[in-house]
Amino acid sequence: MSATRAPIRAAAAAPLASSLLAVVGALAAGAVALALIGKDPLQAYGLLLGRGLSTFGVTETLIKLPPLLLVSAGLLLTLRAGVWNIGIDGQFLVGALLVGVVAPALAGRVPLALLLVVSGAVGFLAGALWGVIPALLKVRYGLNEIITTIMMNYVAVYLTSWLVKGPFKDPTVVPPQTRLIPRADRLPAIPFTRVHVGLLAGLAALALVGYLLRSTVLGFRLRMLGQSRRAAAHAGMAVGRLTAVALLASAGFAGLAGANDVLGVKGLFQGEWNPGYGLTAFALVFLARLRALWLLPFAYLFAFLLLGGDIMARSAGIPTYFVDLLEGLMLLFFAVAVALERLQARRAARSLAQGGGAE
Amino acid sequence: MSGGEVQSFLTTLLGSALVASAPLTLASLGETVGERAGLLNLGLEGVMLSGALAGFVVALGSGSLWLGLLAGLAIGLAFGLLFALLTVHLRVDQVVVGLGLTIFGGGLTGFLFRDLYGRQFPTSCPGCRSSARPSSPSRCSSTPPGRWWCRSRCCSVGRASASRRGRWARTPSPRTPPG
Repeated sequence: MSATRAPIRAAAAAPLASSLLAVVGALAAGAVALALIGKDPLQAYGLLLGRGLSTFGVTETLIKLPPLLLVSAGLLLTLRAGVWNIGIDGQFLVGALLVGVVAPALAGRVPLALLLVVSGAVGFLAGALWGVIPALLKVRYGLNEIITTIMMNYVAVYLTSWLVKGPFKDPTVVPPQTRLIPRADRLPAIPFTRVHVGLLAGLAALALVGYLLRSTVLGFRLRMLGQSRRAAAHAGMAVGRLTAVALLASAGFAGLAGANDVLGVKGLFQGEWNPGYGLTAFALVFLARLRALWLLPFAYLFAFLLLGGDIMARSAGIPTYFVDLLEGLMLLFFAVAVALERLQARRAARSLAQGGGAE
Repeated sequence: MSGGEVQSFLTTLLGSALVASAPLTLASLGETVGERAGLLNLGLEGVMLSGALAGFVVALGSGSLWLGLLAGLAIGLAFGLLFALLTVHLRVDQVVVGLGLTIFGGGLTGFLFRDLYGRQFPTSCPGCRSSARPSSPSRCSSTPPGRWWCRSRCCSVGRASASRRGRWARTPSPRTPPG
């Protein structure tokens, strides 16, 4: 008994080791890249840690955290259901733009709570609306959602860019942007901090998705769909509807993240604004090995890196693209680590089988 | 507008469209071969950016367009090799590797470009015509020998799973997310 238990326990801890290995590998390779352009990597990382772990750094990181949490919670839901949503950037932009239109129109006319709830709902629904087309194409015609959601990104980028230069533009200013939401009508700060309440929304979304996947019938069905589409269909589940639910929920969360950024950070929607959370969310969710609980520390790490990019650019003259470079390296190292992990598992299984035969 | 003006406008428009379509055509040609073989390379964006930067830097430095072209090809090959190594040999999920390459390529080129040229763009390289931006083929398989090779082997793999054999057969399809 004990002989069979040990490898299983080792395997359960292994996924986290791979992710950490990927992070360390990416930081090491990043250090080489920094050295290549003549920057001192130790000084750069020291700067990152020193500023990032100060009170200022932690506060700023927590402000950058909510959109990542919202987006990756939604992405987790779809990936566990075996559905790919690569259209997060587009859904984010559509949600953000509509909130940028609705919120200033409501400001001053309705109580703050109502304004925030309505704006959040608008963001969620707008994002979900942008997911309807890929969902329909997938369920009705079996079109690959990997392709269609990517394509919808381009449509969203140009559509929102046109709308904010035309019909939705604030006519009183020159740059293409929506009307500014007054400070009093934005997301209030959590008492005693500078962090706005969007953080609570992000944490709630993550908890909700974790609970949904772990303890509800819908979550069970989604997970089964992800494990085997055919088994789910055979068990009589409404495969098409479940696919649509997974995709639309993720799209909605992306739209909500857009609402969060407009209501909590920027106060308006600007033309040519595209933070590109979609790819970051993928790196994040893969590194967290599709587990809701692990998502939190990795989301913090990525928010920390986003902030760190700004810090390093301003203080050490390192291009902000360095953060993208690190993220890409993390995914590639993660790929290698997963392959090694699988190799090791196979070797362990083989030695176990041999050991069992000798007994 | 007179007839002559309309004609010259149309000629310019169609000509520029052709020039602008070259990178798309080359990249999608290569990707077509890949997808026929059952591989979905979402890293094309990163590969194209890296090839473009390599081609540009080398052409600018050496003064030879041909060397630039070779550099772009070499980078495209290197990325293709990396993708194949990870997805086909190590059997890592294609979408993970593809998205990783896209983020990596975008980050790397942005990072190096800022370091090499700062914020001022050297907009042309010696020998380049002003209207033609340096572009690079992104995958080995967009060359005729590559197409020929692929026609012989991979396409049969992508079409019918029953005919998958050996190393190709173990490549996971880009459908199920990694656990």
